[in-house]
Amino acid sequence: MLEALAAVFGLVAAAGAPPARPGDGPPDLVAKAYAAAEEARYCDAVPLFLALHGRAPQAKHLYRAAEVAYAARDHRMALDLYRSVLAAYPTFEKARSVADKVKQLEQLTGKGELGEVCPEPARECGDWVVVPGEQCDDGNLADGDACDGNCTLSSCGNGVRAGAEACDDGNLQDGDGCDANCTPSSCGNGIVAPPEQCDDGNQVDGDGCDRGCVYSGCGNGVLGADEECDDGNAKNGDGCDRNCTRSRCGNGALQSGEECDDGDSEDGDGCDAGCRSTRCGNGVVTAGERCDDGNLTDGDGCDSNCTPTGCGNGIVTEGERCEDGAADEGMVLLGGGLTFAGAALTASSLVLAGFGAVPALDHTAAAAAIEEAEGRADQDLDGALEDARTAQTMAAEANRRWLSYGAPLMVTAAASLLVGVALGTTGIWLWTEHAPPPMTPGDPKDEERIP
Amino acid sequence: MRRRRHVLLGLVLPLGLAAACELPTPPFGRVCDAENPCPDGYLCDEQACIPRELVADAGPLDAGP
Repeated sequence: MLEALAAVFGLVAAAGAPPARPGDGPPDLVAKAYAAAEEARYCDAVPLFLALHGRAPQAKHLYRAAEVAYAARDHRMALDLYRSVLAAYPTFEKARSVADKVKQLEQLTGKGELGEVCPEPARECGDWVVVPGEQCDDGNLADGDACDGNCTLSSCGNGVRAGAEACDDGNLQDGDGCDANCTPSSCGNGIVAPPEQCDDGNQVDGDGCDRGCVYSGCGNGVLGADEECDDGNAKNGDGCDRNCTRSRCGNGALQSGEECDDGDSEDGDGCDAGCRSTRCGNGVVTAGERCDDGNLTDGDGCDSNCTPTGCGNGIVTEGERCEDGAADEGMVLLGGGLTFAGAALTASSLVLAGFGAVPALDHTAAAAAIEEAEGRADQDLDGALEDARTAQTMAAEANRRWLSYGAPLMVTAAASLLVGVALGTTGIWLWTEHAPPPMTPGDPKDEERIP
Repeated sequence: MRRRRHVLLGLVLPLGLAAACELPTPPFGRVCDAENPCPDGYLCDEQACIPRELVADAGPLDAGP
């Protein structure tokens, strides 16, 4: 019977591979499967038709696998495959024939007639059959065609360098020579691997990750756009300070020899020029100081409270028996008093002048009336004379008042103005010269001053 | 004593100077007589100073000083 079955299949096999149609599967695999069947290598043909069915699931491929298993007289395998055909394709055109085969084989196997058993063939990559250990098998050993020559899916880390991969060491480990993106382990490949701090895939500085794969910033040894220098450390005074400016006074980095460094050359802001703290005796004259000779020695021209050596500065120096600094206050008071008196006298002189000018103005008006009357005397002498007499009376009266108080008031006003201006000027000078300076940080009278 | 005298001088002198400075008044119509004669260019006519050229037209003059 088996011979007969083989003969039946032999008819099929003799016919050779049918013309390949779209969807039949890889032509190479089709040809190989049918060639195995034609050459009566039925056991070899079974997995090939199964592989074909795996790539192009059609009833005829599974049916052919069952047929060649039947031809190989492997009853158990054939029975399983025919059953699979019926289960997967119940409307298959040869379903009746398949059902008969199933029935026949069930009887045979029921009687213990298992026929031959196809041996497990030696499988190798590239034979179309995916066996354990293979991710794929596309029937060839070419790389980069989705299934590489080692029967693994074409991808980085499968050990096959293909496509755009610069390397592929078969793993996705970084830093082992070939990184997880299949580029050689190196700075600039986009993979952070020790000893890199960062790796942004380029060697551009100032973009967050600089050359050498260190973070952009002062102290990384790479000169940035806003850095004067970068010596790769955070030390001050070594030529390039920790804020990446050259070591110098005024760069904001405190270094040996500097009392302070506030990053500017402004005086009186707590840290003066020369990087010395704002205070009396640092050699820089700042607010509250009238002098500063860089020391706190008294009697050398500028005393320890930063006022010029002299009586009244609060410091007893050679030639002085006492010093309480009150002289200045007295002078200030005197200056203020004089200024006030001068202002009062000046104001009063204006009032006096106003009163004193009244008789003079009246007299001027009367004199003008007289001259006006004289101007028309050649036409009406009597009328003009009458008017002139009246105006003369008024002028005489104004003159009397002028002499009695107008002129003295004017003289007094002038004198008052002169004296007032003199007193005011003197007072202002005294006040400004002896007024105490405002208290500011670093004031010499501050008890916290540094001796 | 000497100081007080200086103060008095300082106050009196300006007042004296001011008193000496009488304001000048045009002579026309001013009262005149023998003791208060009119200035040049004016004649005393009916006890009033009148310009000389007007007096000639006005008639006889008062007796001069």
